[in-house]
Amino acid sequence: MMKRICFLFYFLLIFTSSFAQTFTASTDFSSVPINQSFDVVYELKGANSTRFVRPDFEPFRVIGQQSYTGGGMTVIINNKVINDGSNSQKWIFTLLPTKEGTFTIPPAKVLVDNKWLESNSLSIKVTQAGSPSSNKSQASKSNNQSNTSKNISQLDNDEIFLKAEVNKSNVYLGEPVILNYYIYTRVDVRQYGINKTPSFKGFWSENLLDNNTNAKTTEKTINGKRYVVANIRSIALYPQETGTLKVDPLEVEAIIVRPVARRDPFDVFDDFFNDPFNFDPFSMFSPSLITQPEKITLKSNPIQIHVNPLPDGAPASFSNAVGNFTVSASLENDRCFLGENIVYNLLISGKGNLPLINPPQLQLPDNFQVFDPEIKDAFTKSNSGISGTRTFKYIINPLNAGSYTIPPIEFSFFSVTDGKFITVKTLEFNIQVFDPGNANKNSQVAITNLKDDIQYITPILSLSIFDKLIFNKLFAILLFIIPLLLIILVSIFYRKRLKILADFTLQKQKKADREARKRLKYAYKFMKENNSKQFFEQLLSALWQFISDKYVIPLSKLNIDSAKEIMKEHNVDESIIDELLAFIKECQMYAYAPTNSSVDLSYFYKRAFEFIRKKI
Amino acid sequence: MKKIILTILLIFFCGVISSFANKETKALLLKADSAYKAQDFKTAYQLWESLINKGYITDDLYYNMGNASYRMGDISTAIWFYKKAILLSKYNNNAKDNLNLLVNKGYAKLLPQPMGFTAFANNILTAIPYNILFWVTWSVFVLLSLFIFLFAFKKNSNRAHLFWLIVFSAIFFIYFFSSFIYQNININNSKNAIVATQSTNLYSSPDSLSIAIAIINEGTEVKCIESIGNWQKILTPNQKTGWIQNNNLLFLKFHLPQSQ
Repeated sequence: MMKRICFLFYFLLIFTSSFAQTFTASTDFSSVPINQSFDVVYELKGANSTRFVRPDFEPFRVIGQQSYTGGGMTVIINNKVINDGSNSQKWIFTLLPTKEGTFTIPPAKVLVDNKWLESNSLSIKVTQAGSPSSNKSQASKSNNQSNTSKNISQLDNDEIFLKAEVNKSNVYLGEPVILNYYIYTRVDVRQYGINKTPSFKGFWSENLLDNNTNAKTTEKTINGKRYVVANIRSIALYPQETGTLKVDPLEVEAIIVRPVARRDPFDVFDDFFNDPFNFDPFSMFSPSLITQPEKITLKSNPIQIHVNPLPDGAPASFSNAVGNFTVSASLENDRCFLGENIVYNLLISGKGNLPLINPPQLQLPDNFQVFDPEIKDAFTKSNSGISGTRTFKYIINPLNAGSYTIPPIEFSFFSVTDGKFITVKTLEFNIQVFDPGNANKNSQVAITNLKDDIQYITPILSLSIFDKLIFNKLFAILLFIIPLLLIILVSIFYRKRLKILADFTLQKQKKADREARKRLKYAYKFMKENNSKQFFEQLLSALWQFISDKYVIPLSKLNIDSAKEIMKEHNVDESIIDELLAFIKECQMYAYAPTNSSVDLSYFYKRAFEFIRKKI
Repeated sequence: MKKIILTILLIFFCGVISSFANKETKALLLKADSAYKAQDFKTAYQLWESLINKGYITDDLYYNMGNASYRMGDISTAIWFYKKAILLSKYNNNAKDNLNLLVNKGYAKLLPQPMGFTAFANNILTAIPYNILFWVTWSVFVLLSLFIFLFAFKKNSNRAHLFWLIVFSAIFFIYFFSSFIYQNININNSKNAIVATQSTNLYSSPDSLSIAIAIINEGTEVKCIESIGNWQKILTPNQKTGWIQNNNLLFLKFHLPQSQ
C-alpha cells in the first residue's frame, strides 16, 4: 500500500515536472514517528509568485517556515540536499506530528499571473516511534542513478573541508590575532578529533573556546552550495617575534556518515543477512541510502601573519603590554609593625595581551624588601580575544620603622588603535611602619625612631673671662692671697690708727683733771678776791675743759646738749649728768647775770671740785 | 670700707665688660659655627681647638669639638671630648645623649659609674660646673674675709648677724673649695683614658713580647693605674688589668686629646 503511494507520488512528480509552470509539494518522508519533525517543501518552478496560501496542516504543528528564491542552487537543510536545476521558488515548512495515523496535507495555492496554482496533496503516516522512512531516495534512485553513484564512490573536496581564518594578517608585535578553524561540511559529521595541533612557533597562544562544549554551527553558502559550518577552534595568537610567521595546518580526524550504496527496496533480506546489526525494521519498508561511518583526515590551509615591530621610543616602563589598559593600585593595609607586610595590589584591566604583561617594577626606598609579585588573573575569553584583569600582588616587607611614600608605578602599553605608546600612572601611597617596641599602631601621634644621630652643636655666643681656665697656679693662689693680704693690711692700718687714737684720748683724759684743777685754782684766787664774775667764768671754763678732754670732744662743739649726748654715749649715770648740767646752768646764770655778791662762792667751788674729782 | 667693696665690684664689672667686648673670640666662634653648618668639620674643629689653646675651657666647646670629631669619623676622639665635656659640666645633656648613643651603637664602652656613697659625694662635689666654680669659691672667700674683718673691727655694729654670716660663708667656702679641688683633680689629673687605636693587645707585662691577654677595641674607656716608661697599666671596663702602650690612649687629663 505504502509502496504504491510512493510510486504514485513518483509518477506524479514526473508528470508535474513536464509542465512549464509546476507547483509541487514534496516531503522526504512518507512515514514519520510521532514527535519527529520533518520538512514539507512547496516548490514553484518556472514562475514567480507573489502570494502563497499555505494549507491547513492540521494535525501537524508548524515549527519552522522558510522561503527561498533562486536559480540552480543546491540547498542543504539539516544535511538534506535539495537539488534543482532551474529557477524556482520554495516554501519549506517544518512540521511536527502530534497524532498517530495517516494524514493528508491539503494542497497549497500560489498566485501566478493572476492564476491560482494548486499543489498536490501529501499523505503522511505518523507512526508510534522509530526512524522516519524516506521517500526521497526513491526519486533519486530512479532519476539520478549515475550522479549519486559518483557521489558515493569518492568524496569531493568541497563536501567537507577544514578552513583556518584569521581576523587580521598584519599586526604589531604582541597584538593578538584571532585564529578560527571551521569545518565546512555538507555531510553528517558524527565525531571529530584534533589530530595534530600546530606548534604556533613565534606565538603565544591562548585557546578561546572550551573544548568540552559543542562546536557552534552556522550555515553558510559558498558558490551556491550550502554548508554547515562548525567553529571547532578559536585561538588568540600573540606574536612574540617579528617578521612573517607561518601557522602550520591543523589536522582533524573526523568520522562522517554518508551514503555508500543504495538499498534495493526488494533486497531487504540480503541486507538483513549481510548486516544483521544494522537491521532497521522500518527501513525494510522503504528503499533508502545505506550509510556507513567513514574516517577521514582534514587539513587546514596554512596561514601567514606579518608581524611588524613596535615603533621606537618605548618608555622605560614598557613591559610588553599591547592593547588598551587601565591601571589602578590599592593598598590592603597602609600601616604595619616591623615584621609585618604591606600588601600592594596593582590591577591592570583592559583588552590585549594581558597574559604576557610582566610585573612593573615597584620603586621603593632602601628600607624595604619587595618580593616577586603574585599574579592573579581574571580573564574572559571571547571571539575577539582576551579581556579582563591581571592583578599583581606585591608583598612589601619594611626593614625599618618610619613613614614612607610608595611612589606611583608607571605602566606603559602600546595602543594599537592609536599606534603609539601610552603611559599611565597609579596613585601615590603613604605608609607607616611602626616599631612594635615603642609605638602603638593605631595612635596618630606615635613617634617612630628612624635613625640615631648625634645632637647638634651648642652655639656658643661668647666666652667670658670666667670661661678661661687659670693656667697659672701662682695666679690662682694670688687671687686668694691678695684679698687676704689686703684685709690684713687694712686691719693692721686700722688697728694702728685706733691705737694712736686711744693714746690721744688717754692723754687728754689725764690732762683734763690737771687742767681742771689748774682752772679751779684760778677760781679759788678769784673767790678770795670775792670777784664772783671772774670766779664763775673760771669755774665754767674748768668744767667745760674737763668734759672736752674727758670725752674727747672739741671745745668749740661743746654745749649743754652735745655734752649730754656724749656723756650718755660714754655710759655716764643719767642723774649725775643732769646734776652736772644743772650746776653748769646755775654757774652760767651767775656768771652772765648782773651780780649780787651775796652768793656763797665756796659752796660752788666745792661742788665743782667734787664733780671733777668724782669723774676721774 | 665702702671703697674696697666698690673697687672689687668695679674690677668684676670691668672683667665682665672686657670679656663681652672680646670681639676676636666672638668672630672665631661665629666662624666655627658656620663652618660646622657648612659641613666643614675640620675647620670648625681647628677654630675651637685654637680657643681651647687660648685657655677657654668650657663644656660646650668640648661638646662641639666632639661632634666635629664624630662627623669626621674619629669616634674615639669624639668619646674623649664628650667625656671631657661631661667632666666639666655634668649638666651638658647633649654630650650625655651623644655618649649614650655611641655606647648604644657599640662604639663606646665606658667604665662603670661609681655607686653608693662615692656617687653621692661625686654628685654633691660636681654640683657646680668647673669653669664657674673657681670664681664662686673666690668670691665666697672674699666675702668671708670681709665678714671676718668686719666682725673683728666694727665693735659697735650688729655682731650676731655678722657671726652667722661668717659661719655660713665659711661652710660654703669649705664646700666650694673642696668641690673645686675635687673637680680640679678629676679634670686635670684624671686617670681615665680612651683607647684610640682600632684594636690593641693588652699585655701581661710592660713589653710587647709578653703575652697578650686581651684585645681592647677603639672607644673603650680605661683607668690608668700605674705607668712604667711609655707603658700604662690599665683597668678595663670588665675589670681586667694589663699593660698597654701610651700611644694607644687619649688621656683625659690633658686639655686636648693626646696620647702623652
